[in-house]
Amino acid sequence: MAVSGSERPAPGKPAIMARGLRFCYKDSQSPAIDGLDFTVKPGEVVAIVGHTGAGKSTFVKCINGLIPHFQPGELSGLLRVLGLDPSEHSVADLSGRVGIVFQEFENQLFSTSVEQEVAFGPENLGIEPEQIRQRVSESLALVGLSGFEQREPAGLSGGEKQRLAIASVLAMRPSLLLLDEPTTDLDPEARASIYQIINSLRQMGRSVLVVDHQVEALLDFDSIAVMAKGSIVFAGRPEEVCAKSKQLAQAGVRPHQVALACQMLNIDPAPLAADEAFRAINQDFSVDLGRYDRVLRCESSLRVGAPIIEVENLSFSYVKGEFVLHDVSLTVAEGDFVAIVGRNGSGKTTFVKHLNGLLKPTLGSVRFRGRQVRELRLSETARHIGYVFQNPDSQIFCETVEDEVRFGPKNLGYSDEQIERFVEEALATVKLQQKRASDPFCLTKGERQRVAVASTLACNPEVIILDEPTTGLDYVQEQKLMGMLQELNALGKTIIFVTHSLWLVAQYARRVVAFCDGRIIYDGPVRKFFSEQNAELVARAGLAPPDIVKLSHRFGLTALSPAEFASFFVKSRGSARAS
Amino acid sequence: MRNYGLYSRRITALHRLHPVTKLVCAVILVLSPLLASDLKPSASYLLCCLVLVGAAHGWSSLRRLAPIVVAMALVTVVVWPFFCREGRPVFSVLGLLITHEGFQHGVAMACRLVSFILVGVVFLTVTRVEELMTALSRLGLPFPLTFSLTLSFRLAPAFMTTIETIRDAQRARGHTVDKGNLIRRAAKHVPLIIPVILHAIRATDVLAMALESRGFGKNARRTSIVRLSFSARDVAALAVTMLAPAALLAWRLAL
Repeated sequence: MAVSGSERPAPGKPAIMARGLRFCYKDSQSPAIDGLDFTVKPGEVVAIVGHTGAGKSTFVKCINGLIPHFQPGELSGLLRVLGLDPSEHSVADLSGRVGIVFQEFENQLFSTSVEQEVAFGPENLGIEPEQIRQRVSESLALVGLSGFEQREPAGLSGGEKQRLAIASVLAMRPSLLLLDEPTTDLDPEARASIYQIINSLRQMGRSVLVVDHQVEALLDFDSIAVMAKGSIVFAGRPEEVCAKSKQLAQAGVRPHQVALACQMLNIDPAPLAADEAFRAINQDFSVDLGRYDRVLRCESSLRVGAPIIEVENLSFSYVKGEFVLHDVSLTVAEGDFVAIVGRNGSGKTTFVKHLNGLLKPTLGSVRFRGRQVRELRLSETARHIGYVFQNPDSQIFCETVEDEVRFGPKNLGYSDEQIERFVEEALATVKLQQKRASDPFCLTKGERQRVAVASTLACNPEVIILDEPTTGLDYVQEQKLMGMLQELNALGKTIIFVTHSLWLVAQYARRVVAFCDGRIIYDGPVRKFFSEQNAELVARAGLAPPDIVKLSHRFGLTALSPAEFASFFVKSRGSARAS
Repeated sequence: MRNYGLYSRRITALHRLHPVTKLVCAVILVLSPLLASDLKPSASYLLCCLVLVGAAHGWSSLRRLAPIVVAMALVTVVVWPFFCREGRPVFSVLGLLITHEGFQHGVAMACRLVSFILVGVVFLTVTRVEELMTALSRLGLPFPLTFSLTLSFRLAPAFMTTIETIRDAQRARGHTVDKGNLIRRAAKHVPLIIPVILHAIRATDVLAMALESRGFGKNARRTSIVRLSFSARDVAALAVTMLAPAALLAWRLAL
């Protein structure tokens, strides 16, 4: 049976209803979805969060019929989408009612202009050209891309590409929109713009299902469902879900920072809003200024090592005359732990690619231990400076983990004995000794990322550069990776990482370098970066401090993590008497 | 702003032609030089093609392809004379005589070859991939087929970026391809080729899902927002284009 796009769901019929849904991919032993119960009422905006491999994307694909039509396997249980059974309708037939936006925005755009991209779906539905033009301009206006009609999709920024992907689905006027991790690769500003779009859709009465990792952005949603190992472990209103910090962390989701901090202070029920949290903490607690001062003093007494990388007046252009880096100078010291932050396209990646000679400065110089990097062969810099790319799949090609890790040191001409030692140490550091004989392509994304780190570590570099190392990782994997970098740093390695996750920066980095439009607008200690007087600067870089940092500002402090925040408070005497 | 395809956004009279006209004209212009084998008509034809590039504002497209075009032309000019055994000898290389006629013939061949490329450049400069697709559909090809035919043009920009990233990722681990003999060098491409292929497979998978989810293959009459109208301009363009084979044929018969 064909369904037309203009049909609306009967009121009261759930947008999504799953009962005991189970799916097992062909050639897989264990089910990806196992006994899933889930409902989205019409007009509701709902999020699913959970660890990687929990089955979130699999479930989303079941909803628009990609499973079982496109990815075969064994599907059982009940699933009704707008009253229809997706397994009985082709994906194309459902496309006018159920829209889907994928995580990889690169591969879902294929037209030569923004206008053509948005028109593609409605054209397939056979809608009259005049109407399509109207839909194109409406959809583009909704995602803030009006005026971009004739631009080439390939030339857009990451955030713009993802907004275009959303517009191209909205133009088909689906009653239900599915967004599978739509903000993974985006900077905080672009991420906020996606949530703004979702909010507009909510006001228009559309049903939306979003898969995400971060609960902070989901507080306005109707409900959040937490998924683990193929089924929903708990669900509820955002405040109910966020109150369960421990269970969230267990499910691989980073707990809501303010709620977590309040729980650490035994405030029950833990508030989510900064105002309430401030009131509740103020009532019973006072700031332990002595402790705060000790932390500050301890940080300022940290020894700074000798300069290892010196960048002087670096400018760079890909196309003659169009500079993407302007007169950038930076000295990285031995043993530094530097986070590089800024918007998509602010020059972060271009900058770090100069540090190991992947790019050569148009103007200015980069020196490693006093030697000009431009005069060194890349095979020589690779012995000293390792570079881990954002996507581990850009480099993995060997049949076993061990061979992959051995590739670097072998290229660099180390002796067999050295190679074996480096490989052993690298595998031990990333804790993949057990998987040395595994095929890297059978590992999870988090494990593959660790293989990539190990293959760089095995070259025994003094400096390790990582470009957005936590993309696509869940909370548990992120913590593992960052903890590993901390250990390496303690062993004397200099760490430089590019990231959009500011909570990672606050919690793990010691120094922050912020880029804006190809210039460094901040270079200094992490705590100073997040201090209240720098709020305007942080905003200029397109960033927003983590919630816990903002809450700490209200008490005149700068706390970098929920645990640290809680440690700065003691029960006030008055309240102790009262209790 | 960086342009990823060859299509130029500076709309010219050529851009405004009906895509079917553009396609038919391009085919005629590609085939026409087969009527000329001598130097003078071939060179004249090349000049006409350059005028066409100018009319299409295709210089920037041409500049990007210039290294390949020049290399192909040079190879033709150098290699062709060796295969021409007749005419006035000029000098000999390794016991092989190079004749005046052979050399002329080589230059003529190069002119024709470059003309082919220029016509292609002009076509891609003034035609969107979507227009090409529409033109092919109008000529009776089914939509899924025309879409697949144009897919490589669509995906090329993103694919090039990926290849660059993979090359950089391996270089950062000390990998080089320019050392050793031919076989070793070929083997050294393995670390590049495998991730590229795997990326392509994954990308195709997402693309296929994205296409289906946007109604590709739905059995509805497909519409298009590409505005198409045959006008006097198209008739004129076809007429002028027909002059090319006519002129070359006349020249050939006159000689």
